[in-house]
Amino acid sequence: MQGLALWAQQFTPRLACVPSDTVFGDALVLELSASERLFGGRQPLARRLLRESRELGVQAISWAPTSLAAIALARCGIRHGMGQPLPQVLAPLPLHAIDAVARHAELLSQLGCQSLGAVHALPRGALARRMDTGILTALDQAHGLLPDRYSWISLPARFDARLELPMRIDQADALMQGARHLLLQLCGWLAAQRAGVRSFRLRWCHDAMRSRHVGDGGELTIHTASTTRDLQHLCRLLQEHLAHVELQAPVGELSLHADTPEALQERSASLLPDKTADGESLEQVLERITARLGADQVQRPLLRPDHRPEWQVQWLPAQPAGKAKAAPPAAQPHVPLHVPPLAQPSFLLPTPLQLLQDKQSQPLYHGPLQLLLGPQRIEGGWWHRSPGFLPVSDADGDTHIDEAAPGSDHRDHRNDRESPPKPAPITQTAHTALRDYWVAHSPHAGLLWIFHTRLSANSGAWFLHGRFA
Amino acid sequence: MPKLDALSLPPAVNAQLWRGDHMVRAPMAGIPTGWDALDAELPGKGWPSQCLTEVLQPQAGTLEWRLTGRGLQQCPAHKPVIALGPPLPPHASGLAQSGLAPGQLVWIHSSRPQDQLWALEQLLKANAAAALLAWLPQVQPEQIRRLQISAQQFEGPVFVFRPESSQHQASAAPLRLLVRSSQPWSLQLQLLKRRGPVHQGTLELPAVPPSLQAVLPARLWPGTVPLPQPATAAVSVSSSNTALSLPYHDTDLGRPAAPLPLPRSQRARQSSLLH
Repeated sequence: MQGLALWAQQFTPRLACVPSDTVFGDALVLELSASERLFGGRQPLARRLLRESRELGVQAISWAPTSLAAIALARCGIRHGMGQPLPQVLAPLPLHAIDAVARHAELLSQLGCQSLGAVHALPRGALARRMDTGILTALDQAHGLLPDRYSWISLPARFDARLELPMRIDQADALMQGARHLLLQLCGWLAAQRAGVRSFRLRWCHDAMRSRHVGDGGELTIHTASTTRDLQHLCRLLQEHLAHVELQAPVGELSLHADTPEALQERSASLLPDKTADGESLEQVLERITARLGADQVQRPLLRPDHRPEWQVQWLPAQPAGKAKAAPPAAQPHVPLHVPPLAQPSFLLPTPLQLLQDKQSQPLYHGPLQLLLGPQRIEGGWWHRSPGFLPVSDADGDTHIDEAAPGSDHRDHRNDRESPPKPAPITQTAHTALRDYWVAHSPHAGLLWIFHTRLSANSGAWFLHGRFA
Repeated sequence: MPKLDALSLPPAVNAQLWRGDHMVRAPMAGIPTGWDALDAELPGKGWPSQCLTEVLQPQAGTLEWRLTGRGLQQCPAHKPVIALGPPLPPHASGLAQSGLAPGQLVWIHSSRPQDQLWALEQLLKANAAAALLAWLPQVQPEQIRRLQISAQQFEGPVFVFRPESSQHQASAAPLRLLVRSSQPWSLQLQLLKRRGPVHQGTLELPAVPPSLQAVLPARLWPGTVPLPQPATAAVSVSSSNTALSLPYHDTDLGRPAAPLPLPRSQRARQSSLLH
């Protein structure tokens, strides 16, 4: 009942629990007349209540102008009590429909009263004298002649809901059905506050019949990229995360916690059908793809000022996890783009591929290559020593592109003869780069970006570094 | 089979009728490809929305951004372009030079084909991206069919890049192209399938990578002067002997930039002389 109240908070703040010791059990009454317009009218509201309450396991639901009449109708399995005047609706109902009447059911049936209408027709004074006044008050309240008095259920500050599962569950995927119940309640609680959530925690408690080394249970904390209370999105996200979970023991109970609701900017509904709002937002779909594939497989680029191609682009996760919203995509257009001056290819090999050479030291890749444009010299990165260190932007001035005259190469070679041999090519390409880039073409491999660099004092090598695709 | 006479049909039926020798009227206007010659051959006068465009090519990673780049610039800038499973990491600064802002690019790379298919289907259903480029070398015909059904909700071009060998497989994609880049500055495009009459022949599309356009010397521009023929054997031999295996550097863009590979006959003769 508590979970149901959490869910129902979204429809109205005026809801109350009506306890009953009869076979029908407790009832929850909602005053909805003020909420009809917000939810798009009486019919859509009724449809939504029916659909979601059925999911939450509500046994019967009915509408009536007064709360006691609604309870009475629900007990008799009649859903709709709004069309006719209340006395006509209530008259054929049996005595047990209203608790206060049901207490005197035996006496009343001996008097020949089989329905509420017959009881209502009895003289009021005699009825009050022979039974207590409660029966008159209840009948008047049911007919709308006296006001109802309820203590409304207030909204809890934290969301904390438990659910005992109807059966023991071994598979993490199968927890989803129970978790959906709890998420439905969470969304109701959030909607009541006009808020959304950025993270929530699902805990599961293992059955008592578990082996000794297995703990009490486990938990899963889920962060969303943006504040949301979209039930479908939360369910799909949770499902992706649960797919990675392996349960140590059967689960008997689930609980869901959420601490900090955050204000949510809501969009007003549109009069005209809005086609663009149909699908999920990009953030949501990338979030789900990230949840399945991993954060290192869904990435956005960030340009850095560097002349060496492999240091120009830093790939960041497209959906930063948790609170850290490092590179919001909306903020990027304001950052000035560091578009390098040199023509860059559209694909870049993660590590340069050394090419074979023919007898004239010309590069071979799927046959001989035709050098079309070049050379463009890139020389830099000598300041970039340790692995993993990212160059600061003011070091950019040290780099220069040297489109030198042919003679300068020979001078370089003479200097290199005395110097110790250079390190292995891969570490060299990762940090200090001294390369001559060419655009080459092969009929089979297309337009390639290759570079020539020295491996030692008197031997050079060609590397494939990119493709102009 | 009796020939249908256009005049004998009611106008409402006639408007709905598609004849095999006419181009079908696309429900949504396409996104201009950047080549008028190609636009004229495509239904909707551009890359179609709400359906798959299958691009077959001999080798992956040789022409994709040149083929699609001009169209991607026409896409709405607030939505991203998603590259799914490219054969090599895309180079964002090179793409920025081609007009695709780094903030607009998302790179999804997964090694497992089923994950790629799942991600593509989710992206198609979400309809949140401006364009999708997916490299699916192992995709099966029934998977293409399923993707095509999902793509009907997606308002933007969807390119699926496949190897040339799948040319003879049936495919549900309404537009299939076979593209080669055997010339450096142009693409050779064949329309294998379209919603319209059969297209014969090859379209020659000039396609200089946009990042190279500024630095390309006039002698290399396509269509103006034929590509330079290989240099004389004497120059090649001398440069390879003296320059310590470094290519002959020349910054004057008016002259031949590099020793070009010799024709096979000359090279054979040269090697026999050297030994």
